[in-house]
Amino acid sequence: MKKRQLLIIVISLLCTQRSFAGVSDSLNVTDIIERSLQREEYYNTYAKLPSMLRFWDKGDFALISSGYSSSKGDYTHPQLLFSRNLLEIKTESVKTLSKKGLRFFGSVAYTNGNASTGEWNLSYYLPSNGSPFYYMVEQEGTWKTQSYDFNVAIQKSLSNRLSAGVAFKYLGDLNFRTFDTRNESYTLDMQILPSITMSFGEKSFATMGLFFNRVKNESAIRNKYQHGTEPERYHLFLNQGLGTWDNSPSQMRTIDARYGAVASFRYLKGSKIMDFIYSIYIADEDWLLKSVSTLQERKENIARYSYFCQDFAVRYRENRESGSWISNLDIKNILGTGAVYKETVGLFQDNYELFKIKANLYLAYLRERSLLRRVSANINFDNTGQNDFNYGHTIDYNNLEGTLSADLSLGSIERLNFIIGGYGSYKMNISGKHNPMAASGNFYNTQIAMPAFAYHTSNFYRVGLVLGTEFNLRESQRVEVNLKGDFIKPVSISNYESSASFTLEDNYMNISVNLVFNF
Amino acid sequence: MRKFNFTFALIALGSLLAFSACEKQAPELSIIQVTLKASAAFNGVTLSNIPVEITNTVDNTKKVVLTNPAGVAKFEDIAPSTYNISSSLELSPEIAFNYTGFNKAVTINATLSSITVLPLQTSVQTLTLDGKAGGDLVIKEVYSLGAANDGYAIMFKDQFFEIYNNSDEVQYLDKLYVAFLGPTKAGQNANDVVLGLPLTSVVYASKILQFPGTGTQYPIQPGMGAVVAINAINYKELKPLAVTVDNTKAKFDTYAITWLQSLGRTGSTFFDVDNPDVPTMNCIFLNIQNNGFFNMDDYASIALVRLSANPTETIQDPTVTTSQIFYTKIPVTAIIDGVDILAKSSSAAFKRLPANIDSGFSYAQANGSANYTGKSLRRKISKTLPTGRVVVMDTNNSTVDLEVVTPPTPYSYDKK
Repeated sequence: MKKRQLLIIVISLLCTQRSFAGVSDSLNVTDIIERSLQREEYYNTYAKLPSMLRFWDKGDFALISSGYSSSKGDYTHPQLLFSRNLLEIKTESVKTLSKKGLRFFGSVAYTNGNASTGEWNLSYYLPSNGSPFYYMVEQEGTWKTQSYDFNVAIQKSLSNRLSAGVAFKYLGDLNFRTFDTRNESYTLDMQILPSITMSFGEKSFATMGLFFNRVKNESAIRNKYQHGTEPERYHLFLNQGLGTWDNSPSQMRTIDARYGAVASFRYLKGSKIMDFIYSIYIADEDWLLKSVSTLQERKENIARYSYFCQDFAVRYRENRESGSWISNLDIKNILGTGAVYKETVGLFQDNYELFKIKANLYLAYLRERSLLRRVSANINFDNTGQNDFNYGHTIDYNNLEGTLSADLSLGSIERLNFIIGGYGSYKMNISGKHNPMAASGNFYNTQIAMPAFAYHTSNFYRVGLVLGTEFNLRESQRVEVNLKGDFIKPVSISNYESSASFTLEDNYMNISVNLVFNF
Repeated sequence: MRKFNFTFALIALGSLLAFSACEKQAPELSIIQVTLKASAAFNGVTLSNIPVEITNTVDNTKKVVLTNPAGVAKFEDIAPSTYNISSSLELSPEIAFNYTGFNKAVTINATLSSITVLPLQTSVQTLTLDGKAGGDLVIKEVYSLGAANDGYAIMFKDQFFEIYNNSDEVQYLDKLYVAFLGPTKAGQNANDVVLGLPLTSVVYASKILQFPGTGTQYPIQPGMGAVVAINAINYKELKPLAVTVDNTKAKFDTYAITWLQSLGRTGSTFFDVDNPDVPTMNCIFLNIQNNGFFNMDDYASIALVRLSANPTETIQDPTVTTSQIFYTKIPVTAIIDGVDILAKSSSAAFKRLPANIDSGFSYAQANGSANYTGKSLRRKISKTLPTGRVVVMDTNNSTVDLEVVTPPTPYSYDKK
């Protein structure tokens, strides 16, 4: 494990070093907005298709950034973050060795912070894959967090028509709950993604890739103090559905193994670039007992969440003399089934299902050397359905959020430049249906599902402000300072107002500041 | 651009349709149908409109349904799980007279424990109501879980139980026995093993104490209690911020060291402290060879017993193979009162008393793990008479009769 970690660090640093040694790659693009688009483009397209790096028109970049972000408020998911402060240091670069037909990407990031979370959360996060399984205690939590994120991608041109690439990810996520009930939660997320791209003439490119992603979590849960007359608040549960839970579970580790494939097709027409990217994977998240008594013949694997995930993305970019159009469509779908091992019958019994579809449509127009630098619109759609067979407990909701934003560019791109941006969005609940059936008296329903449903089906508006400046420190170094803030306020609560963990008087605020050196 | 936007919108719409939702799996809910009957002794009591309660022992939710004129209660759309089912009916003195020949109120009740209900199953159950008139001496409170917020300085050294005179006549404690019932395991942990011995004619004591006296030395007045403390010490004074008790007002305490030494065994000087100002209970049986003392189990089932001589017949614990653990058999007919206190709502299999002594069982926390919480299980008040005497509930069903209190409340019902 340590050798592998070391290798990734070395490769990442080498990529960065190569960038330092070269000319100022990042300055090929014009300003803050163009540079942020460049990085978005990498993550939206090329991080998924390393062999396509060869055909990236954006060129190389290198940066070192440090930032601080803070968020706070009561208008949040009742189990999640009521406050968080995070410090991040990051370096990222893309470097091309044209003569050798090689292109590298490398990034290293470290975050350190603290957070406070709501009731019924002993895992820091709620599962992002839709799994119903997570540890919970009623007592709210405070946390110390750290993460180490290494990413490397290497692309090699094999012939005029053929390009190969491979990307590695290594993410260590460490979350320590600082008061009872304590959890030292270690997550290791590793991925390998090889791909190959073939060009068909000058205008068509097809890519195929495979990936294996393994996410391992190990929790160490314990209490340090006596809990007086309120021990129930510290009682440990393993959630297994929408009312199905394990009382006093054993200590476990989880392994989420994902096997997938990705395919893409790029089509060029004049100054237009269009990418279609489809990825699919199947995964099993297994909950394994840390220790198994051979006397009792207990099975090591006591719960499993099996899921199927598909992602479809369309990227469109059209460059004109006056400006450029960018359109992104992203659709993600998860179908999952949770099952718990029943010792009495000796098999896994399904007890939970999830269907989730998220769609995002982004449209932007950028004008070169103009006061109105960028205008964009974004629509987010979220459809979530959950079902617990044991209780007949179902939760369904559909949400839509529309965002409009604009950025003004003041000053000189060559010397001191200022960006002032603003955005406003409105999130509305289209529909929501909650039927607890046999779980109506279950604490999961009254203390978790109802407050969460009140949050998910509430409507809110969000306004944000972005201030940025950039200037040359030296000829080959451009410095950016970015300040961002947004403010979210609920405007109506459609369901369970009396159970909600927030009121219409509450809000949520995010603020961040970033200092970026571009080389 | 216009053409592109149209194409893009078509792709978006098509993609959404391709990812469209699938149908949900139907719920796998079940039905419990309970038919209420009366035992032969109470044949003829009206069985309609009587509440029947089910408790899901996994999620601890309860549901109550009234019986129809045929005495049937139907619970529909319930989660497949394991259930305890109970019902009780209080007969007024006038009605009870027709069945018992005594002009005294009687509660008849019935409980079924750990009924497994499978998905989509209709589980048909029968509850047979039965009962007997409540006793004169009852166990009013059991504090066995240990102190809270004491920094583990007191632990469970402050345990006590209280005997209460629930009648209108003076009762005597002299020579009565108190049996702490085994086994120690009460269903807290997944690997706890059920004792598996029959609970029909005898129960199994791991420890037995006897009140001192010759017959009339230790009277207990109507509406008054007698606390038996493991150690008659003021723990409140020792740890003012802890959730604990002052046991110096106990009428009796326990002390095993001298007795154990007389048998060639050793006691525990750390846990067992004698208060010479408080009469000490007689030591009769302790199934721990050395370092033992008369503490109750965390989840303690105890019985008040009247016997003419010390019980002597023992039986070995069949579930323990690594050592020899013995219990002394106590005849069920000798039990004056008993309460079954287990770890949690799903612990019914660990019952230590038969249904005719305690048709249910009680627990401090539905999910268990209640040790070192300062919680105590106390009998509820049935009524307070104009004279000020409290009559406590005694339906022979501790599920109904007991409540959880914090901090413990020795002598709380004593007539002022």
